[in-house]
Amino acid sequence: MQLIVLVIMVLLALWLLLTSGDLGSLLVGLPFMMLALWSYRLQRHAPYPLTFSFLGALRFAVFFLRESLRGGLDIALRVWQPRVSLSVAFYEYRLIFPQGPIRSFFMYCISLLPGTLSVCVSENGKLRLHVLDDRGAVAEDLARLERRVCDLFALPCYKGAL
Amino acid sequence: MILDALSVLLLVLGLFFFVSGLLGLWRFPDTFARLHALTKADNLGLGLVMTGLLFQVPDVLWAIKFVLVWLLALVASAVNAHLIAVSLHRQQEGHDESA
Repeated sequence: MQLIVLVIMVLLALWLLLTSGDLGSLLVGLPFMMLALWSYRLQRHAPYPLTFSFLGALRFAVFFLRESLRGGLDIALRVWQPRVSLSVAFYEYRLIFPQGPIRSFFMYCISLLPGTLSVCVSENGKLRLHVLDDRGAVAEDLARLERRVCDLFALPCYKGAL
Repeated sequence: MILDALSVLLLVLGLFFFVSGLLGLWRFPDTFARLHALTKADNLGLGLVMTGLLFQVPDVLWAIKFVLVWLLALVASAVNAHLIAVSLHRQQEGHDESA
């Protein structure tokens, strides 16, 4: 119950920040907050506590910005060439995060970072992704992101996994 | 003056990446590859546009708002790309079984 109140407060704060505190706009905002709460209830996984590391968040932010730059440049380099050079493929990667918010976060980050796109979790529990160029170092990139996510959520590092 | 020049530079760079994303949508061979182009190039494009606008903000609240808009757009683009990819993958698998 406390969690619901917290989520409502955060959503309300976000909305008021985005609309510069215009209370009249809550006419639109409140229904969408209700929708957000309802979609939050649809999650079907065992709840687990989330921890964060401040330094980890800083390191993650730097990593994310650098990789965003790399990802955008990668696309720009490919599309402006006379002949588009791609080597698309599907790829499977073992997941270390249990179903829930951290796994979702990891999968969304994959889609925003260079050359990789999360597709789904297959029946064998592995993550299926689409890569733009299978000649690159996909596994290394994923392992690096995984370490940064562990760092952000103050989880033990999986150094041996690389 | 210098800040204005910096804003213009970042806005132009941001637009360049938006155009790159569009070009990818047009030139890439299949839907998965097009999703790559849109998520990555627009992520960077919007980030650069928002950074360019940061130099023009009247107060901190606006700066927070711009960063928030970028983050929310990132979440939306990642979730959308994922949903399109999942549904496309299901369609293709269904197609393979019937073939």
